[in-house]
Amino acid sequence: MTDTFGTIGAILFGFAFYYPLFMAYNWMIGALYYFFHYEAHQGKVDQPPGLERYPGVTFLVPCFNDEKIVAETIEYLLQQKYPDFEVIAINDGSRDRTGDILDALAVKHPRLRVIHHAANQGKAMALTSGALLTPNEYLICIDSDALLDQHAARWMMWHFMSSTRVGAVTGNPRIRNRSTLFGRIQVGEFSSTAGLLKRAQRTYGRLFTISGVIAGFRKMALHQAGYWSQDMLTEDIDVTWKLEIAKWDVRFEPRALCWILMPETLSGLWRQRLRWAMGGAQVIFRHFRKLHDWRERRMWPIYLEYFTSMLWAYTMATTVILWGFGKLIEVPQALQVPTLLPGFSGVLIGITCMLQVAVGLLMDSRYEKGLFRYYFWMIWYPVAFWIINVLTTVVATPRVLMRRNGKRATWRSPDRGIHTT
Amino acid sequence: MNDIVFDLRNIIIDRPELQSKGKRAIFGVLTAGLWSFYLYLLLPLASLLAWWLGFTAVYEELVMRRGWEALLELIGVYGAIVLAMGLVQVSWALGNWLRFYGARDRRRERPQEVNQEFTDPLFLMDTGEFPVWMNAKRLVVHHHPKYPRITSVEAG
Repeated sequence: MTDTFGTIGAILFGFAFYYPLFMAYNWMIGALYYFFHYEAHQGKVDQPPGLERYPGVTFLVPCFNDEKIVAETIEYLLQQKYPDFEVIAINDGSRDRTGDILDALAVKHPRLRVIHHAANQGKAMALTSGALLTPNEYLICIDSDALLDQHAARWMMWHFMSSTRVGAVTGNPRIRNRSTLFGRIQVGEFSSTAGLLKRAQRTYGRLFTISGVIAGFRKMALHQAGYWSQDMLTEDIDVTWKLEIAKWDVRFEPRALCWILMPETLSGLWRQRLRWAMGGAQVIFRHFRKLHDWRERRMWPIYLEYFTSMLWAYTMATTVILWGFGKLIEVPQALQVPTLLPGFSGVLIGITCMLQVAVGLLMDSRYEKGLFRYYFWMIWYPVAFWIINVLTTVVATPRVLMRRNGKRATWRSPDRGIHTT
Repeated sequence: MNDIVFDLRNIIIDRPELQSKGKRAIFGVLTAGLWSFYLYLLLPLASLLAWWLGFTAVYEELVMRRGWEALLELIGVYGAIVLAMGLVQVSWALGNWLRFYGARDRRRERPQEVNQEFTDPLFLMDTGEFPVWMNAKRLVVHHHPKYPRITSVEAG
């Protein structure tokens, strides 16, 4: 009995330490395959391919209490190098001057239209209102604090025009604010995990999520999927799964750059990551039953990946707790964790982290020159990532299970870091 | 309209001096802590290098006591697992690519576009003004308090 217990303990501890190691290689292999298969031979960011036709595109910008930043977002957006587009800003019942600013901008810019929600409805409903009140079939949604690269629409539309299967395309979010340690760590994160993961998942066949901050949609795909869900904490993860379950292809376009503001405080980062973790768990639980269908088998790799990472978070937390107990009190031998980083395995894990960051940066440095100058800071990202991943997952899962079904998700003003405007 | 110049120097905000001195100190300490942690990870490698610098010790620890075998064994096992994972993943990807590429694409017809007929059920109101809304510069929209449906749209 003690032997069995000891063996289970050894397996769990092995899983806790080696899962990140092997997942890192899994992501790197998948991302490199994607890079050489789909990406390396394509043009530069400012040289998007010509399209056989240029259907009208609507940019949707949901806004809530964004008086300080929304004008900059809209002014940048209006510089798109795409022949036929309009911008719809949706003021979701803001209590500040956002509505007045948008109305003034609409007078100045012929391509801008404004939808005012009489009462606050949440981001999902704001996007849905915009989608319903535009004649265009193609929608590109960006957050109210994001600056979209001028060529992004052309790159995204290239996917829609090249395949009738494509229901959505997500772009490549790049961090704007890099003044603090948190900002710089996230520069690394968006290359070494977010970018790497999206490429790898495209190799498995399905994306876990689009980036809600920059995503393009075919309206018919959205319509079939039921638009954005009002009660999901992360409407972007949910809509991705709904589209993919409805057999639409969801793609990643690394050249569709979008410059975003991210939290630069620990509390801001924690709130954001907890919301992401809760949103991910919510989607997994909601769509769980559909995954039993053989026709959904292409969703299995990302489901397995998410479920395993959730299991890993709890295993890792248990391991750390047992290690801590072992320092304070006598614990049974089968449950003893003598060290958290054993010998040469620690070396290999450390080297793997460095390699993962380097691979991610190498791929993204095609689109942002001088990215390697952040390598000094980025090298620490994997450590921070795995710790925050454990904590948010452990907290998020029970919260989601206790959350009332159908409760509407609401806006929270995010931490946007140190901003100069 | 003044054209905005897309210049990364204007877009990227890299101004550490905007932080308070206290915050900068905390981040400095945090960074040093992370570096220490990383060095702890690489400690066995550092030991290996140190032994290498003193050849006699290396010979004793790694050759006589066959200490290198542990590292080689780990690299062998990990390498085999990574290789197997990579082969499975690339085979899966190539299989899917061959299956869905080109002539085998089952959705070859351009999908129908969404029009008023499709969206009408999402409005709990008369949609006779729909063409006006599509071009209006300014709209005020009201929603049902419980269901995600539009109950009124005012143009202008």
